[in-house]
Amino acid sequence: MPETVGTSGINEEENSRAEWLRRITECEISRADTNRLIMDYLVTEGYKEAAERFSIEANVKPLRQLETMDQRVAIKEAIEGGRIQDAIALVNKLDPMLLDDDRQLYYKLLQLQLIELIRAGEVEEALNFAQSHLAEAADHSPEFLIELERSLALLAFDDLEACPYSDLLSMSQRQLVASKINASILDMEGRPSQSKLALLLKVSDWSQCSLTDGKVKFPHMTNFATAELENP
Amino acid sequence: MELAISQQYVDSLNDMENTENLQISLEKIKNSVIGNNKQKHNLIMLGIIPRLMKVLMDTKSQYSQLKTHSVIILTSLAKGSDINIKGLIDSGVIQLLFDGLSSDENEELETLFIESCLQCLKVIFTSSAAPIDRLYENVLSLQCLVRIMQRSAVCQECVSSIIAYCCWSTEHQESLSKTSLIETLIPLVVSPLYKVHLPVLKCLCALSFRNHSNAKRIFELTYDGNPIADLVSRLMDWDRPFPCQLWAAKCISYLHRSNAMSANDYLVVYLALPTLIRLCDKDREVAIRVDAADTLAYLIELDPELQKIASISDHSIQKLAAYLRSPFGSNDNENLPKFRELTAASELRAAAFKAYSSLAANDEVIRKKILESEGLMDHVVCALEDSHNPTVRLSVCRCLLSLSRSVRAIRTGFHDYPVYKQLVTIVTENDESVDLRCVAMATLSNLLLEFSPSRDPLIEMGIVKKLSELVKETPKDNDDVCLTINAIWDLMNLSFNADDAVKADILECLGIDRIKSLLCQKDNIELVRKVLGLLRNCLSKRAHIDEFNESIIDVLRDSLLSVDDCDNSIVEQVVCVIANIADGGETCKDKLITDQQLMSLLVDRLQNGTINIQLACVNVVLNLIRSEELESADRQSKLIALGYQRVLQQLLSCTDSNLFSKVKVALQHFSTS
Repeated sequence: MPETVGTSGINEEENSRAEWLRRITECEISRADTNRLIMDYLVTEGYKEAAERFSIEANVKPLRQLETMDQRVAIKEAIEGGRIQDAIALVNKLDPMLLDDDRQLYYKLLQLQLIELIRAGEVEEALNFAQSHLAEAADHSPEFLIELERSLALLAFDDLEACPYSDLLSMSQRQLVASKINASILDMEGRPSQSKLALLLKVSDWSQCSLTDGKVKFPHMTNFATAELENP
Repeated sequence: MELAISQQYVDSLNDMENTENLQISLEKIKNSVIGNNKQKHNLIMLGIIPRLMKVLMDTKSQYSQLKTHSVIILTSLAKGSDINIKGLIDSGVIQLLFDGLSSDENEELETLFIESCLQCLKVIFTSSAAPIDRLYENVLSLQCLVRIMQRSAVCQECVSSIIAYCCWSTEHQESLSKTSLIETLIPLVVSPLYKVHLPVLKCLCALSFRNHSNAKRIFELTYDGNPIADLVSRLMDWDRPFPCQLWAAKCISYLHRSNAMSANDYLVVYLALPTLIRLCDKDREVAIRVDAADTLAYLIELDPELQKIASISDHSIQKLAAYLRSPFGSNDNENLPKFRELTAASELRAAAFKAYSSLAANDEVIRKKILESEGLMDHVVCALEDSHNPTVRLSVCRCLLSLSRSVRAIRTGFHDYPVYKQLVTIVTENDESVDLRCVAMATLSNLLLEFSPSRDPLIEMGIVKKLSELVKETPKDNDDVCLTINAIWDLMNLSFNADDAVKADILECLGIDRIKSLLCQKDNIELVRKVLGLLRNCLSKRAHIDEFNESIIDVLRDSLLSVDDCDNSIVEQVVCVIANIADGGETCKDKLITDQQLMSLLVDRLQNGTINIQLACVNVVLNLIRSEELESADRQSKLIALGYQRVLQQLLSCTDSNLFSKVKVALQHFSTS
């Protein structure tokens, strides 16, 4: 908690921020720990090449074997490349129970497949696919019905980008699904499904909320991407 | 078109010789069924199950991928619905899978194939269609499963899950304890994999539930020098997933309740109990809250000290009160569908009342705290009136039973909220379960006590007639016995210090024939005891006694003749009733005094009975020979001839002051004759 300096003419708010920064700077985090955090992130998120190179450059061994990453990387690449059927086949090869147990995830993959058909202009195939594979799921899940309707709405637009739901076409949609699949596979293997860095960010956010709830004044980090601190 | 493709898939399995094509077909089928319920249904209708089984049985290569793929597809089919599972069971898949696992070449079987078989068995045996008894038909199947757990983490998870789900009865526990299951499970408690140690905990709970022998065996085992209970307790750490904390706390609770651990054990008091209360937080999901409250109720049910500790731990009473207030789990992330909200609300209420019933079982201070919870009695009345929720009703009745042990509660809370009305409705509703009706009657028995403000309104409601209708002349089964005993108990409490009109009403409604029939129920000592208690309360005035005595005396004599010498409480009750009868009119006294056999039995009890029995016998004598009565002298001489005076003189040397003074008074009556 930042200490209030006495009335010496110095601006209390600025001092508090400076004090906060000073304390942050004084925290010693070893390079080895930082490297391990980075390696953990690269392995968890499936950046195999980067992890291998980093392992050599920073002289840090990954906590998990890198060869098991191959399947996750292949799945991720298939999804991000729009090859959903291949991705499904790879997931089923790795863990045949995963998509049966997590139907939401399975339907997300089918939705991506539907979107790819729409993107390719294969309208009739898209409609058949929606009817044969997705309609049944939509019957049982109001949430998925909404998603199906959003996806099929793309068919009403010649220019797909003009559709209010054009965000479905973006790479981020594929990356989101790929990330969920990655997390599920890690969970299936009994490994943490989030990197320690992601957890640290969440803990930082939680800590800030807790301090705010406790009516403590401190400089908030409102943008984690830039690590910019605002005045208290 | 879909069906045509599905048919192609099924037909492609016919060619067993071409293993390469078979492999491709199985791969395609696998990818088409996983996640797709419609496709699963189509393929089953087209007969894929027998084809897959044929692949399993006929494949030349013992350890091929083909068998593994076939099993994977069967597993996926099972995940479609319980109907699919029934189809698999009827086709004989279970036996095939067990045959595969217990083959002589088991050691060489590929781990992947074994894991696939176990996954399939797990899906089948953890479904609502699970043929549980099938698992226990052949002890070799159980031994095979236990042996296979050594193979891999997946095997450990699957076998533990199967057994945890399928261990329901003492017989199941006994069968499992004959294998080396417990010893195999112990090291798995420290598995780093959550998906292993969770089913292992569930398994240990299933094995130790109400089973002292298994609980003791588990408790005495160690792993790596650490007692198992210590290792289990580490799984209650705050950083563990909530289900893990819950099942670890449950395990310790079951070990305690099965008498393997004492109630003051550190792990019970300082770990399991606070963990369960912590899991009752409103931020937890509904299933966790319900299970935690249920387990807490079970843990503290019989121990007053644990009840006291629980009542002051972590705002437990307020946490449980929140269960009653929220329409559903207040964890907004759950986002439950509407029907699930209603079910969740019922489950929470039932769990809260169950926990309250355990908390309030013994301590007046705790009862007061619970009764002072805001809006409690409103919730109680709502729950009592909710005829669509028998589980909630049973829990709330149990809660009321505990609370009604408080005199203060009976005079205040139960008076301000006339719950007796709903209780009577439950008691007289023939469609309700016997358990519920009996608990309601047990609560009514407290509300019928002489100081209860609810007593008079109940009498006005015609409670005597309603209860009498529940008394069966010849109870045929356990349900009849339960209802009859509770009804008699209620009437017994009602008749204590009641007005003459009430007592007369009770005797009239029951009728002498029914009372005589009940006193002859020699197989049911508790029932006889209660009827005697009722008679003792009711036959306190001459008007009643004269009406009933002549018929009753024969039955009472027979009871004395047949009762086991060890059952002093029955003997005491019988003699007390005789003492009341002896206080009746001349015909009563004559009937008694001329019954040679009865009087001989009584003098024997006077000489050899317990203090209470002797006191009751002296009361009989006093009532027969009160010297102001006309025929007293005649009766006295008969009693002297039977040896009563001699025995009374012997009793002057007794050490009990109460008995001594009564004997002295009786002897004085003899001497004034």
